[in-house]
Parts: sequence; C-alpha cells; structure tokens
Amino acid sequence: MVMHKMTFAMNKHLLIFNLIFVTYLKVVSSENSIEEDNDTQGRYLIEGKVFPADHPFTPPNWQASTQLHVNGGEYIGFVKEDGSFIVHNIPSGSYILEVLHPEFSYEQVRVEINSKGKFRARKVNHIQTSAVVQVPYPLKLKPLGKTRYFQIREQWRITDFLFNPMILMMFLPLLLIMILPKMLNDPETKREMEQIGSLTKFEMPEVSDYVTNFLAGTSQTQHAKKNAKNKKRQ
Amino acid sequence: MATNKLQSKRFKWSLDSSKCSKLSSINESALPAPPAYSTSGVLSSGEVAKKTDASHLIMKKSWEVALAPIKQVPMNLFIMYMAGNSISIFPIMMVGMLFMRPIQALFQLNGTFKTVENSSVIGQKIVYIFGNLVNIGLALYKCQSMGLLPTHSSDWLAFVEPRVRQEYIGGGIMFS
Amino acid sequence: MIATKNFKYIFLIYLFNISYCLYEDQIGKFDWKLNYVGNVKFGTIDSTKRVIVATEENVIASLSLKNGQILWRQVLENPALNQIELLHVDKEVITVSGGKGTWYVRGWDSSSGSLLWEWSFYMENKQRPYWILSKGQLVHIIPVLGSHIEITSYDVHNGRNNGKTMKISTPWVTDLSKCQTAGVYWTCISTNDSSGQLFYTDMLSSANQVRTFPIQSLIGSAPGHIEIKPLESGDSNLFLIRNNVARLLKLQPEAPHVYPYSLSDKAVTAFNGDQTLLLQTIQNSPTNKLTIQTIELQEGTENVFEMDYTNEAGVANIVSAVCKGTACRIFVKSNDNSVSLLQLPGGKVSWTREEGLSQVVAVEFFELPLSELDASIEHEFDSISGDIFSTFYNRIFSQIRQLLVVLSGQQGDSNIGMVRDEFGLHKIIVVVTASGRLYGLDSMSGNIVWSQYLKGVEGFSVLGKLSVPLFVQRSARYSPLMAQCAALMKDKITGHGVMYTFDPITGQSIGNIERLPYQIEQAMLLPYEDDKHMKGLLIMSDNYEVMVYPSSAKPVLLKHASSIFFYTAGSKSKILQGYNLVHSTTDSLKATPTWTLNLGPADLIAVNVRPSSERVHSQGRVLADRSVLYKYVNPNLLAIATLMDDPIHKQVLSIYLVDGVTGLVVYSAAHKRVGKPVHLVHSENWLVYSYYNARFRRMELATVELYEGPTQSNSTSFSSHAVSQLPHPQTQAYIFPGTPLAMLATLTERGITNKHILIALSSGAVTEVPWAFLEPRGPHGTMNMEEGYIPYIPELPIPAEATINYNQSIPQVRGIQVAPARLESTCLVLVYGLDLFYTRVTPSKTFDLLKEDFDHWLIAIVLIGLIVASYITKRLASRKALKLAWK
Repeated sequence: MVMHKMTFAMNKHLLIFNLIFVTYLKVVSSENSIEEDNDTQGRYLIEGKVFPADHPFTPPNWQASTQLHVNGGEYIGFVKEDGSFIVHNIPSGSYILEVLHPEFSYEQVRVEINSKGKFRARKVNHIQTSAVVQVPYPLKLKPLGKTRYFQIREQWRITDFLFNPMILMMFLPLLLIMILPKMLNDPETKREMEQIGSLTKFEMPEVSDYVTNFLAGTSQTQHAKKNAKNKKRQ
Repeated sequence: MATNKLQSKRFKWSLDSSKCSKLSSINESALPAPPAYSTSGVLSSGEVAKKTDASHLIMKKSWEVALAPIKQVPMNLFIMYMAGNSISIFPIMMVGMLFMRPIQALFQLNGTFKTVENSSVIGQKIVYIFGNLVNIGLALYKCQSMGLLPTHSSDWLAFVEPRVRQEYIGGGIMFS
Repeated sequence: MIATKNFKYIFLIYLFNISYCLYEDQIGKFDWKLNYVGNVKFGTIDSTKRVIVATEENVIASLSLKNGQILWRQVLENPALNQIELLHVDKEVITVSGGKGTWYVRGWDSSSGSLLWEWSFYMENKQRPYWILSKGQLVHIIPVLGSHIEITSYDVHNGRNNGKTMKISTPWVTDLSKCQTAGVYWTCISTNDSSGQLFYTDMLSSANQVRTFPIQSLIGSAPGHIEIKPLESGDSNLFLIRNNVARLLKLQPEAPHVYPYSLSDKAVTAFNGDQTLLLQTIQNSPTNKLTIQTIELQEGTENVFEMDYTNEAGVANIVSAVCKGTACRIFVKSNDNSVSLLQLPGGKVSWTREEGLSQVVAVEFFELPLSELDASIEHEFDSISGDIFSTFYNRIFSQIRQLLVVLSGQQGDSNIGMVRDEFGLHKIIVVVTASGRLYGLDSMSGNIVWSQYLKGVEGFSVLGKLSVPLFVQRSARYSPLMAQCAALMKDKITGHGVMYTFDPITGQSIGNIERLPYQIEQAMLLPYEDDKHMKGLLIMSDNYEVMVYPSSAKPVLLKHASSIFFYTAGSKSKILQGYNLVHSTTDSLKATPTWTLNLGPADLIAVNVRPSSERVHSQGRVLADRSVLYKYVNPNLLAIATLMDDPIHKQVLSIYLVDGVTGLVVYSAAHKRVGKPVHLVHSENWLVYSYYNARFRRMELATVELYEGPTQSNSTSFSSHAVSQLPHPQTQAYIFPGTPLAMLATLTERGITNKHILIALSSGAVTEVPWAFLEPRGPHGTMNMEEGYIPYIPELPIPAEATINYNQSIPQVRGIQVAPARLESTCLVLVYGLDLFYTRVTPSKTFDLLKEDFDHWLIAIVLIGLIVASYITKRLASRKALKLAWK
C-alpha cells in the first residue's frame, strides 16, 4: 500500500499541454461542478442534420441505419426522414457527438452546452483541448467519405515488374554483355580501346620481384655454398 | 621430367627472344617491326632474359601467388566501404564473397602451390595463409560492423527458454 | 510542425496497412455473424406480415413472419439504465423507453424502421411510472402510495401536454404490486384475498370516477392468493388470478363483465374478424407436445390444438397472435428466451430464433477430437511394446488402411463432421446464456451443434455482471477419453452451487447435474492432471471449506499442495485474500490464509489475470545498444483496478499489480479525476487499461510494462517467493478517440506472433491496436530509438482498416473471447453482445501460410518454362559450337 503514493507519470507531451492549458481547465472544472449541482435543472437537446453521401452513393434507407451517439452511446439520437436529428435530455456539459453509419464515416463534433443553455459546437481536438475551431450550430454533418475497411488487392502490372530495381539490375548487365561484344567487333573501336589500354599501361615494380630478389640473394649464396660443399666432397 | 621439359622449352624460348632483342637493338631504326609485333612485349621478354635462372622464376611466381591475398586487402577494404553497413542482398553477397574467397583459398592451399613445386615453399605458404587470414579478419570486421556477429546477449535471446513456474494461482472475485 | 504530424500519420497508416489485411473478397470467408434482438419483452404481429418486438436489451426490431429474419432493428439507449416500457403497434410503431426520470417517446416507421417523430421529457420523480396509450393520448401515471395518483397526459405525436397534471385521490393505493393498468383503466385490489375490493378508474375520461367492487361478487369467495394481471394486447381486460386459475374481467364504466372461462394467466387475445379469440397454452403437457387452446370470447366455442414443439426449456408463452378464420399465427417465447412462430391449425413451428444467444455470459473454445483416421495413427504410439517388428508392422498396416480410406473416398463424410482440421481452425465454441441454456457452436459456420437447458439455475453476479465460470477439465486431445468441461452456477432458489459437467463436443452431460450443499465462493482449475488426464476442480465454499471434484484429483492436489495457491477478491468486503493449501491432509483439505490486502474505501471494479494458456516466447526486449532488458513475466500476477470517490479529485482510479502467491504489490498507480468505463488487459509482462479522463474529457489508454533488468535472477524457473528486487515499470498514456466496451489481447499458440489489443467500441466496431503502438517507450526508447520502434504519438488513430468486423457493427458488446489456433499466426475471436461475431485475426499476418492469392500456376509455368528453355539453349549452344568447329 505504500506504493499507492506513486502517481502515474503522465507523458511529457501531455504535461506540456497541461501547463499551457491549466487556466482553461480551471474554468472548465468550475463549470463542471456547477453543472453537477444543478443536475436536475437544465435538460437540453442537441439538434442538427445529417447529410447522406451524394446522390449515386446514397444507400437506401440510410436514415434507419444512421445513429448519433453522444459520449459513446450515453445519449442516442436517430435520424428522421429528412436527415434531421435531435438528441434529447442532455444536461449542460461538454459532449462528443459522433455519427454512426456502417458504410460512411463522419467527423466527430464536440458540443458544449453551458449552464445557461448556450450551445457551441467545435471540432474535436483531444490533444489541444483548448483549441477552438467552431463549427456552425445546429450541426450540419456531411460524410467524409465511404469508410475503407478493406485493403485493395495488388494487381500484377507489367510496368511494376519492369521498374522493379532487381529486374533493372539483372537486365542492364545482360544488355551490356550482349551489346558490348558487338561494339568491339568494330575494328576502329577495337583500335581505340587498345590505344587507351597502351596509354594506361605503366610499369609497376612487382612486390613479388622484390621478395624473390631479396630471398633469391640469400638462397643463391646458399646454393653456391652447397655447390662448394659438393665440390669438396667430389 | 615434365618440369625439365618445360624448363628446356623455356630456355629455348628465352634464347630466341634474346637473340631477337639483340637483333632489334641493332636494326631497330632500319627495319620496321613485323606485323603483330609489340615493342613492350619484347622489352619484358628482354627483362626476363636477364634472369635466366629457372628457380628464380619459380620463386618469383610462387611469391606472386603468396602475396596475392595481401594485395587484395586494399581492394577488399574498398569493397567493404562501398557495401555500407545496411543489411540487404548486395552487401550480404559481398560479405559472403569476402568470406568465401579466403576460405576457399585456404582449402586449396596445396593445389595453388603445386604448380610451383619446389622444396622451399613453406615461407610462401605462411605468407599466403597469413594474407588469407587477414582477409577473413577483414570479413569478420565487416560482419561485426554490420551487426551480424552474435556477440551480444540479445543475439541469443531467441534461445532463452521460458522459465518454469513454481507456483500456480487460481481464484477470482467472490461469487457471493 | 503540422507537416511532421501529418507525416507521422502517413507513417502510421502505412504501418497499419502492414498489419491488417482483409480484402473485400474475404467478406464472410473467415467470419460469421449472428444477429439477435434480445430477450423479447413485448411483441406484436402487425397487419403486414411482421412481428414487431421490443426487448429487454432496449432494442426494437421487426421480424419477418415468413422466416424470422430481422427486417430492421434499432438499438436504443443502454439497457442497464433504460428499458422499453411500452410498445404500441398501429400504423406506426410507438415506443416509450427510458428510466430514472428520463423518458423517450418515439414513433417508428414500421416498414423501414426509421424514426418518424420523437419527443422526450424529464421527470424529477425517478419512480417508475405506469403508462397508458389510447386514442393518441399517452398517459403517464405516478402513484403516490396511500394518497393519490398523478396523471399527466400527452399527445403521443408531439408531447403536447393537453390536460396538464391531474391528481386523483386514491387512498386505496397501498401496494404497487396490487395495481395494474388495463386498457385505459387504472386498477387495484385492496388485499390479496377474496375479501378484498377491486378498484378501477378510467384515466382518459375527465370525470375520474372510481368504481369499487368486492372481489367476492366477481369471482366468488375461495381461499387463495389473488393477483391481478392485465390481458396483453387486449383492451381493458383484466385477469383475476387465484390459485393459478385466471378469470377474465372486462372493465366497463358501469360494472365489470366476468367471462365464464377459467384460463391460464398467459392468454393472449387475437382478433379474428369481429370475433375476439382468446389463445392460451396449457402448461401440463409433455415436453415435446404443446397444447394450444383457443376460445372465442363471445360465443365460448373452444378448440384445442396439439402440436409438436420440442424445447426442454419448457413452457412456451404466447407473446402475440393473429388469426384469420381458423388459421392462426402464434408468436411464442420459451423459458430459454427463444422465440418461435407457430402455425395453427397445422401445428407447425415456422421458425425459431435462439434469442438466448443475445445474452451470452460465458464463452469457451474447445479443440475438436481427431478424425478416426488420424486417431488410429495416434493410437499406434499408444502401445509401447518397443518391439521394432511390431511397430513396423503397425506403421505399415495403418498406412495401408489410410491409403484404402483415401482410395475408397470415404474420408469426405467423416471430415465434414466435428473433427479437428490441420490448422486447428475448426473448433467448437461453448456458450452459456443468461437464461441457463448452453450451446455448442460450430466455429466454421456458427451453426448450433448442440444445446442443453439447465433448469432452475442462474449465473453468479460478479461486479454487476452475470458470470458462469467454465473450466476445461480435459481437452479432446486424449481420445478415446472424452473431453470434459465443468460449468459452475447457482440454484435460483437456494443460491447453492450447481456443477454441471459435460462433453463440450457432443453436449452430453457427464453424470448428473451436481447440486452442491453450499454456496460457492470461488473455484479454480488445478494445473495438474490425474492419470486420466483430468484436471481437478477446486471449489471454495462460503464457509471457506475446500472441495475437489472429481475426488480422483485429490491425491494429485495433495502431492502438489505446496505449489497451489488460491485467492479471492471480495467486491463487497473490499478485501483480497490469498490462501495456500499446504496444511491439507488426506482427510480434509484446508485453505490457510497467507496474505490480505485491504482496498479501503475504494470499490473493486476489475481483476484480471493472464490467460493460463498464454506462452511468452521472447523473454526480453532488445535495446538499441543490443543488450537485453529481461521481461518480468510473473504468471501469478493479478491486475486490480479500484475506483474511489474523492472530495477533491471526484474519482481516483488505482491500479495494482499484486503477486497472488505472496501478496506483494509489485506495482501501483493512481489516476485522479478519471472515471468509468475502466477495462484491464493483462498479458505477458504488461498491462493496458482504459479510463475516462474527466479532466480533459477524453478516453485514455495507459500501459505499464514490467522489466526485471539487464540480467535474469534465475533463468530456469520462476518463483514468486524468490524476490530479489522489484521489477522496473515503464509507463505511457495515450489518448484513445473512442469508447471501449470490452478489451482483450490476442492469444496465439506459442506466443511468437505479435500481440494486438482487440477493443470493442461503442460505435459497434471492434478494432485492433497493435501492442507495438502502445508499448511504453520509456527512457530506453526515447534516448536512442530502437529499430522498428514507432515514434510516440499522444493520440492513437483508429483506422477503419483495423476494424475486424468491417461494416458489421456489433451493438452492446459485452465481451470478447479469444483462442489460439494451431497455426501460430492465427487467433480466433468471438465478440459477444447483442450479436455474435466470430472471426480470425492474424496480428503478424499469415506468416506461416502461403498467401491466399499465391499463384501456384504462375510459378509452375515459370519453372517449367525455365527448364525447357535451358534444355533448348543447351541444344542450340552445342549446335553452334559444332558449327564453329567446322569453320
């Protein structure tokens, strides 16, 4: 239980944000405490309109398959025939509203209702909680696009194959091998090549020579001695 | 016997060329060179002609062979530098070559020195082995710098067996 | 700044693309989904061949009368707080739902299920009101005991408050169990016997006259308990029930009319032209027969139909019925919450929906037995004769037999059945529902293989959730020994423990249902098998006695008593207690308390342990300098979350990691100003938990990873008693832009595959988050990035590609269960909530399988082509060489 004192170290990034937005948070927290006290007082409704995807992609009966979740399903709204919706019975506070549709994705919106019943809708920014980018209220929610759940299968294309670096690396030397000998068949180029060869040719004393000479000197004397010995024996 | 023949052939050949060189030294300006005749070749043959000792030639040849691995060192260093430390197919192939060549050479040690059959090739052999070892060392260094050598504990992590548990625990939140 | 952020996201999306790979053509290939509406509370067959149902799960749906399929379904608010209280089907479907003073009145289009209108109101009075809907008027009644009732009537379409609130003095309302609404009447009886009075008053008329009649005068005097119950879907009809015999009254402004039939209280009216038909099921019929009685209300002609209806759960209650002439369609609900449509006079069951499966409380995956063919090969190794010749003979013989089977082509039949496949992907899923029915589901198709109803039992209530612990005592690996599974429940009446053992493959019960003479406090499966490969079940009773089932496991337990430990966590007592079994003797088993952890005023909200079958392959983490940080993999670690109300910080969430053997608190952390929902996932050496950060108003995921350090204190065995130093924790928190309903980590056979966290979101999606994203980067990670490490981003993305259930949303998810396949890369997942969704996930892609779209033909053609080409070129080359030689 001693360990209880150990508080969870928040991430550095978050801490920075903490420092910056402490003032803002204080305001919010006081607001929260007020709203809890007056829990029973104000019940508000969030209203707006959901737009389906543009005409050719409008799914049939999309109204029935669209739902609005406020704070992860704490409050639920349904879409009427014309796309309008009302989420009822919401006490003042800050809420995240999301449109759920299995095929289309919509952007989340944060709706703030203050204790006087004033509404403000803004873009959701979880990191910079004080950065307010307002969006019009009543809400107008348009789909971002069709939700891409699937990966697209890669199709085999000849260009992909040809521009593959491995293929390039294999074919270029092959081409060189095939074409260079043809070029060399030409007598003039041959001569040129030779000239280049003779130009670059220069004499380098070989190490092995040195070593041989160095060693040979000793060995020859040895040979001489041996010979001398042999002669003596004879 | 074969070597003797070879030597005799060589003598013949060197004799011819020396004569030739003498001729050329006399009549160089007067006569044009015959077709397909290169002066540089004559020059070298002239040098060889000076060292008529057969054993000297063999020695030279054997030292050439013995020193070949060491001569490769700068080239290998250059290859290593060019290959970089990233692990991909070409650097790996290069490293493989760096390893394979000296090892193969060491295995064919006797084969390489057979052509220069002589009683005293031990020195050359030692130099040759040394050169190849240097090359292997270089390859090892390359592996090390590429991180291919299992020298760290992390390289053996996959072989660490999960520990056997001594106690078993069961239970949960009370049902009543 | 923005550019780098975007870049990071692109990078992440790229990574996600690496780890998820469901292609559009794979829809339904590995997954199936069963859709349910829930436990039917109200149901009405409407005029256009549809059944409109409202359920306990706060769902309103329309079922096809033809085949029972869901035509549309609308999931309303959280059923724990909101319930549908009224369903009225007319031209449109009207529902009144809500709870705790918040009420929603909604009108739905009965053909499409879209919302037509809605309004809502909030009452400060949190008491559950009574509702009457008649002639476009919604009447909301709140009785005040002994004094008056408050009546508020609204226009049902727009909520206009017509007559304001009225108060009628009703001093006779003393007990709400004696009051009901019947049609437009509010009615009560004064006492529960024949001497009482029946009061009723019309709620819609402005006069509000109260009528009073003595019960004796209506149904005569006889001893017995009297109850009243409205006749469902009948207008202003009321039952007076005495001794299970119901008499029907028609309440009228002047005096009630009493019909001369004795009925069951489960009768339903059906309109048959002008005639009103009364339908009722007669209870005392044999289990596979159902007797339905129809009575014409005016004329009194009775008809009795007997039909086949096999459901051992018993009595089918009529929910709704519609008749045309003599042909009736009857919508019935059984005790196991399944609903069926019956047809009269043919007496045929048109369809049945197993709605019990919408209330799954426990799930377990079971391996299937080997096919007979494979089993015969296995048997070969059973006989340890050691003789080379006999084993050789056996081998040849079984191979020949195998060949014969393959040649005769009989293999097909046996393989279709419930036998193990090569990769262990085919399993049986045993599911226990709240209604007390057990189902065996085929993991390939979702078909019900078997089902078994247990009467009079219910699950345990653990932290407000029903729970039925399932224990795998023996897997199907040891054929011919049967697999065995034990389920623990409690008796509905006495609360005593009930143990049901069964074969999970066939669903047959093994022995009888064992009714234990005590309440079960906790239970654990022993880790050791007896000589018949059976793992014993250790049960602790409410007076802390310890029992072992079956008794053959007792010697095994005694042998290993020193290594078995036990713990209990009291959600009420807020005390964690550890026990050992060292002091057990052959006569009596004894659990001795070893440690206690008092949680103080904090509420226990979650306890999580690592799955017992989990294996940790990699024992450490490789750092940037290529040294190893060894993981602290403690199999006895309990992860505990508590929530405490705090005057300053509102709520404080505490997380503890406690060694269950010694009671040592290995790690603890506290978060201020956070709240529910809290979910814990503990796996390997890490813990992930989610909570709501009330300060920043966002969901967050926090992760803790425990490391032993650069060296292992003991590399061969792990003992909780050998503590040299506390592990080093690394922590990190992330913003999670969704609301988790359930969380679980994937599980694979050998633990080589990466781990993903499966998170069921309130939006109906089940998403995968790779552990690599959540891994605490810590001081080791941030200083010098290790290869393959993902840079820290405060907000985790939830890409759509990571949704394992793609567009098949699963509402009200209650849990996720995973099981490893025999294929290392693959993990089987069942998500259960209102619906059941099964799929496979491959956290590291299917690295041990060839890709699905692997082109066998292409590679074969290329290979053959190359061989042919090499031969041809060889010939050509030799010819050319020959030609050159002739030149």
